[in-house]
Amino acid sequence: MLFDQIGYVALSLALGVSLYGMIVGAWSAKNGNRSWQESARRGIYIVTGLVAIASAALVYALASDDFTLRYVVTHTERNLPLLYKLAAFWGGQAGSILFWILVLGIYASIAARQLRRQNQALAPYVLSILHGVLAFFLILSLFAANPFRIMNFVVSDGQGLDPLLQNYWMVIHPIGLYFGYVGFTIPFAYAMAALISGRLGNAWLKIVRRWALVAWVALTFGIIMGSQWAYIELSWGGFWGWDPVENASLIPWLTGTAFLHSLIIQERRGMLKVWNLLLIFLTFWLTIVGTFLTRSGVIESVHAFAISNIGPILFAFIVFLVVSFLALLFWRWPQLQSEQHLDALLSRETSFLYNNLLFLVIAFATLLGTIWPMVSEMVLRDKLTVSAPFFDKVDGPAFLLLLILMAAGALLSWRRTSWSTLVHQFRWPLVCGVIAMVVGLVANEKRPWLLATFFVLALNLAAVLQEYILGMLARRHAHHESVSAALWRLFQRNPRRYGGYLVHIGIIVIATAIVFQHNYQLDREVALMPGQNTTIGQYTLTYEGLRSRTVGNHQEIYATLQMQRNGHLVGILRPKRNLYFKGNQPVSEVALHTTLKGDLYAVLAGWENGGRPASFSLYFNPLMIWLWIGGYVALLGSIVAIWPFPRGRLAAAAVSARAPVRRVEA
Amino acid sequence: MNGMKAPRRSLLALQITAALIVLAFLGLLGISLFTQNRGQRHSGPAPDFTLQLFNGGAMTLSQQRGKVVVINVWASWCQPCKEEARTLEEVWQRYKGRGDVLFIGVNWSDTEKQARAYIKAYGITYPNGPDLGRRIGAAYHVRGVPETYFIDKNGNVAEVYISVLNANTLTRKIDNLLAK
Amino acid sequence: MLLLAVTFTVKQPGLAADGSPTPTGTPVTQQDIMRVAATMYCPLCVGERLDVCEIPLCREMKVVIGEKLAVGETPAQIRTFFVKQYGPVVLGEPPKQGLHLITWLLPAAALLLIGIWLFLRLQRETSAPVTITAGTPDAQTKATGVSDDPYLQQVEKETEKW
Repeated sequence: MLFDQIGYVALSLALGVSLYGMIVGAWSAKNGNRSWQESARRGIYIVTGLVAIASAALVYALASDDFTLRYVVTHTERNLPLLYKLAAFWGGQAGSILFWILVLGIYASIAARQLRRQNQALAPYVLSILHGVLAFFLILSLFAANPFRIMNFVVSDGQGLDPLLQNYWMVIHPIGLYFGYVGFTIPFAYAMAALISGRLGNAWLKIVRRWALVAWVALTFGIIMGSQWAYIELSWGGFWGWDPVENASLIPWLTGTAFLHSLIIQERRGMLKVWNLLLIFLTFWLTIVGTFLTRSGVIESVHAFAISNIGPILFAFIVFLVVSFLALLFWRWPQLQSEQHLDALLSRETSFLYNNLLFLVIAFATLLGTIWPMVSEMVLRDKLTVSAPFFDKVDGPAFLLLLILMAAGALLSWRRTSWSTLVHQFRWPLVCGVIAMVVGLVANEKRPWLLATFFVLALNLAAVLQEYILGMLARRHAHHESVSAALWRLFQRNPRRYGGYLVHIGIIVIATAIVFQHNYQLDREVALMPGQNTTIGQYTLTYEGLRSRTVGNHQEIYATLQMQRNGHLVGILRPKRNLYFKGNQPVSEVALHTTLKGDLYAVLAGWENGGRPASFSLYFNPLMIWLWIGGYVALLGSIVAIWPFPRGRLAAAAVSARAPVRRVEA
Repeated sequence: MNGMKAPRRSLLALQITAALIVLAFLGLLGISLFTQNRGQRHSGPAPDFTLQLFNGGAMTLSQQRGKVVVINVWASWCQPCKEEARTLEEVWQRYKGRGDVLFIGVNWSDTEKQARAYIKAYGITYPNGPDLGRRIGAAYHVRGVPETYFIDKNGNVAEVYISVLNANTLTRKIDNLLAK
Repeated sequence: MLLLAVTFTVKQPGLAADGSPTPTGTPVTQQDIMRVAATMYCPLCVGERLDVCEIPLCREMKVVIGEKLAVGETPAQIRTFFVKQYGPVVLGEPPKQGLHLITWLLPAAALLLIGIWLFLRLQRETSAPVTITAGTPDAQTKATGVSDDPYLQQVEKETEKW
């Protein structure tokens, strides 16, 4: 009752402060007035505080079943578990926009704290831009998707949360996604600040690099967890459905990843300034475009939020962003010329350029496929679904090419690679690739593109491992360190490089798991009477019967499958259907048996006569767990890359140990 | 890739290309944003179509000029359709002798077997056929079933009715169109 | 236990779940139906594959698949039939014809054209005389030799700065 007013007032005040901050920030940028700048900086904290108050009010309303709020009515019900009541904060349109603002506020506050002393030349611009973005989202929240709207009639209970969202992965994966999406706002603000102020040296790049990595880590984490949710909740045996909402998270991930690579070239060679500005802008812009596509109703999606009127406001923002960016870019063009040229075609730089091209082409193809149903219906009157059949064929080969470049990037040297180095670097990885191909042939795999994929995967893994081994050997040679100490020093001395390689290992593992899941998945559709059994892979499953019980807000109907491997009982699978009292469709809950070799995945497809018979969809997904393991390895790697190792002391120690070397900031 | 020194002429070309691509993309988004909520076709000339009928033959809408045409879009899996099926047939029986009223059933997003069973179960006698490739649905912006389109004697869409029809409403709408 | 009385199933009437022979001699199993269904998409819902879709239309479509398989039609024929019935939406991809070809060709064309353009550009650039600006990182590394072995030196350099 009171909380809606608190929330509403807090958001309105936050909008006022952010508009003030935007203007004052711009003003201080113009005349260099430090006290105005400080005022804008503190304004960020105030906005964040006010948004936190509004968020707390909404969370409290959700948790306390305050059914005077429309948002609470439409997203919870009395006997929804508390965890899901809280998760309803970001489970719906209006709430998730508030959550977005909260995350932005948190990021902006950290950035504002850094701006107390650092980067004073850019600070007023960055602050003004951050206030501007905050103000935009506050407008969106207040005028188009207000979570504090009041019900105009009294209800005794809410409508409940979508049963598909009642899953713990669903509770956490949006957090990762939002931290990822929103995180790219800070690099964007710095890039725009550099562009507007004309301070296009490498100073902004240093700070942007770390921020971009943070956002990238969060986005990667969100995507992996989102896949896990899809895998266990959507019960079709897969983890990535090429749904518009999924694509909307993949597209900025691709451009963001391209940026993380190309910025290295700018740092080392002073090249690609425009390109990097473009990539960072594009990544941020695509998060907004993706939000627009999936939330305005222009594209239909399984995960789509209810259609609302946020479309026009978001669209206006998208247009404003791109127009102002292009105008600024063309205005600053003369200052953005490269200082240097490339030295040789056969160099790491070249492989990075092509890697960027591929990332962008994949992002483009994915965006094109995502919006094509809309174009098709509008222009050609053909209603279309564009899903896995398209993306597998178009994005798939491009990803394979990308993997080839990934190996090349690790093996080629900077500037130029001589033929002798080339042979030296490539021989072992090539041998490993050939071995993998032979193993594939021996295992009776005859599809050439799969053999090529095995080759590339093994080549990649060997290339990265070789980097660790050679690096370690070099250190042992130079500093007489033990193997473990040498490895540890590698990470400490150059966390970005060796953390980056760890990310590569994670990606290779993920790619391997995807290739296996995609091409060697076993499936079985059976109808069984109690006592009958079926086999899939090495497993024999015996159906024992169907039972039901009431749990909280739903009725569970589950089948019991006894699972044997090579004649030994290895466990019981209980695939379920949940009949939610507030829903009409029975929601499937899969049963999983996970091993390092693969997952046995059982879905209760239907039944007659109380379970005589019951039908099942069974899948064996080879190497599935490696997809998640790879994901977490990649995360670990990127955390290593961001980790602020104490470097000064180490560098000094290293210098004293051998010939003096001037340290260059990596 | 444009960080390298570009001659002025190619720079201009690049800028124009970039601007055009962005413009095209924004145009697409904008148009779809402002047309997404267009409802079913409710006025203007009725898009023509030829329906392959379930019991043989074909029927072309444009050849029915001079008649009031009631196009009922339905599917066998749709519960509300079943509620109005008998009403439609009853009212059809009342008008079919006149010659200036025609009912057409358009079977949308359905399977033939189920559709035929439905027609039989509800004793539907007016011409019925499947919307092959759902072209009719696309032309009339059909969003679901049932939907009923009223075409006047001049071949214009006079009205669209989106929920279950009762006999009174249906009769009144037809009579209104006949009176014009 | 009451709810167990509710039947929730993808019923497959008229086909050989019990293994009775079909005109082609081999019985059509649920597995066969699902394999074909898995290559298509629901015409009414968004992006849902036919084999996992549970709305009434999809169930009926699966029955139709069973009937068609039973009379010996190939999966390709069944797909063509469904496209004729419901439009290209069942394909799950843009049809390879007309303007839809844009989606199939544009990304590959962009990759190829920009790839070639980039190659030519790099070739021209790298054949230009090399100028190293003093004070850039690269100029500095030139000056720091730590080992006689050129390869080790390179590795050392790489681990040192990046």
